[in-house]
Amino acid sequence: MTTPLTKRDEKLLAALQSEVPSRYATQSGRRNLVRMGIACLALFYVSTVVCWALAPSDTAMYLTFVCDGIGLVAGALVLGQMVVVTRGTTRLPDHLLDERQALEKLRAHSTSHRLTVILLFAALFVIELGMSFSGDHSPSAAVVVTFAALLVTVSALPLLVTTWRMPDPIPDEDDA
Amino acid sequence: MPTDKDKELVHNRIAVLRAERGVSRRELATALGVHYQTVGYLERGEYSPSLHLALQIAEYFQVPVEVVFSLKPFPLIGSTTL
Repeated sequence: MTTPLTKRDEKLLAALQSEVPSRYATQSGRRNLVRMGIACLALFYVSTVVCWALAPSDTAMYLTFVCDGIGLVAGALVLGQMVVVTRGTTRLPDHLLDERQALEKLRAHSTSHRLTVILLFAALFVIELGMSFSGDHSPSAAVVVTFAALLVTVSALPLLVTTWRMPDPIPDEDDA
Repeated sequence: MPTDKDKELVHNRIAVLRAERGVSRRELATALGVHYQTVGYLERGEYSPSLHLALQIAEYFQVPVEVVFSLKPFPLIGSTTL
């Protein structure tokens, strides 16, 4: 049940009771937002590839900073919009969610878990492949950047899944 | 042949009862302790409530639960078959 325990809970709930921006009221609008989120995540993988191919070098360092920087800033903005669109379903603590939202959260985490397993297998395969090509040379920066990309992806997945799947919100004016 | 979705579909008269009693979606949601969008999804048949929520809704409208929810579609107002 949606029971605010603190002032912070009340503020969170009030913010998430507001109406979804009209451009995200349709499925195509929300899915475009998810595509933008995926594009932001892709930047982290670009920097990963750059690091595996070019590190250690200044080019790799600068490209990584630029890609990850843009990915972080743009990703924060896009994911912030997703939190508003999904009304915090995947981010709010359980006591602030009703039974439908709790079920949505559970489904999103379940789907994300499956996707994470696939992603980790793919990463394992690609890293093995990369190491077999580069021999013993495996730059530590590339390992760190790869883990950062995986971490960001795994933490964003429930939000992406929920935004992708959510049904059209009911407009407020229906109450009139 | 009914699909899995049809089997799980629970029909309801929340919108009718709400309109009849002049209760807004937000008022009902506040009384039930759920998000107002949840009431909307219930009315559109996109979400089937738990037994607890179904009983709460029936209690709110002070009617038996089978007046609000049914596994078969409710007859249209004015139809001869009840």
